[in-house]
Amino acid sequence: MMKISDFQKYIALHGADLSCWPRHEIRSALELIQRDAEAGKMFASAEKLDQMLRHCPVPSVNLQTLADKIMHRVKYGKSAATPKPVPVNPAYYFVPGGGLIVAAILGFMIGFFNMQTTKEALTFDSPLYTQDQVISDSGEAS
Amino acid sequence: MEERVEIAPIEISGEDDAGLMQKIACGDNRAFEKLVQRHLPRSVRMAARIIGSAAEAEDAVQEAFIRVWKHAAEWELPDTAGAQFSTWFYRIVLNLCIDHKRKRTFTPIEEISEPDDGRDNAETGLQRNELTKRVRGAVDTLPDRQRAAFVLCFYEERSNKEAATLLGVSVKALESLLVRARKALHDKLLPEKQ
Repeated sequence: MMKISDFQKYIALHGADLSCWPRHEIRSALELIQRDAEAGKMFASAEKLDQMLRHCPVPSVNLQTLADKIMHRVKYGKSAATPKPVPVNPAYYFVPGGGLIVAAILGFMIGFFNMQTTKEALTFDSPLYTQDQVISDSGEAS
Repeated sequence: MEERVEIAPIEISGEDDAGLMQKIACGDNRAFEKLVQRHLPRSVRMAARIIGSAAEAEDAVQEAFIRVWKHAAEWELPDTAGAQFSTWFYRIVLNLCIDHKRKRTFTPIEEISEPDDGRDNAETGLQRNELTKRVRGAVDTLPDRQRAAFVLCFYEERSNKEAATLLGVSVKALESLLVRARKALHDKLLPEKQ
């Protein structure tokens, strides 16, 4: 006949799955559950816990893909190509925008200075030309 | 306490692990592939249970197999005082799982609620998700060795002796880990029954 203390020890160790209990103790454990309310309560509680724990599914893994990856590493010495995740850094979001702004400023500056130079080149007062080089409308140098 | 009833080992056809390991030590890719196919499902399942994340379990198992490939020549046959291949291999997986778990600094995607798959009504789906999350959370918060011991014995249905060998502890120490793990899980998942 099983004592409640022994029953408690087995419940604490193996839970309600009697197939895990020592084979020669199973019958006396079942008898104790039948006649002792406390043992019955303990067993029901352990059964509930086991059911909850068994319910939890194992995270799923694609075995064939993993096997392929392992074999690839063995054959080629490195991991199968997996795309690297894009770094989640807000600074990276501003790079294209910043590039566009810099390009726009540079474009404006180049255009502005080119315009000034052209203006100066077309003016007779331009320091680039001496009075001697000014060409008259008739095409002769004055 | 007495050892639990032994569970019959899974019958595996074909060449045994020791034979494959001898070929792998000579650089035989096909032998390695056979060994991977043979031990991948069980090792991944065990790793996923211990780590709680499929992606990290994949990494740990991949690393374990690469170690087997690299160190095959160092593995000794059980006849010459070496360990059984499965003991040696699953010990590597177990240690890598514990390392991964310790290094983890983020919440794995598996801990985020899954969307309803449409098979159940919304309420049942939500309840199921909630329960899964609670159970995973409870198992996840167990200390490393308690979690490993519990996964090996409860989910992987290893005998106490096998689990103790894999963890490198005595059967008594393993039983102590199991009792503490069960108590912690009971307190977390069924607190009203205390």
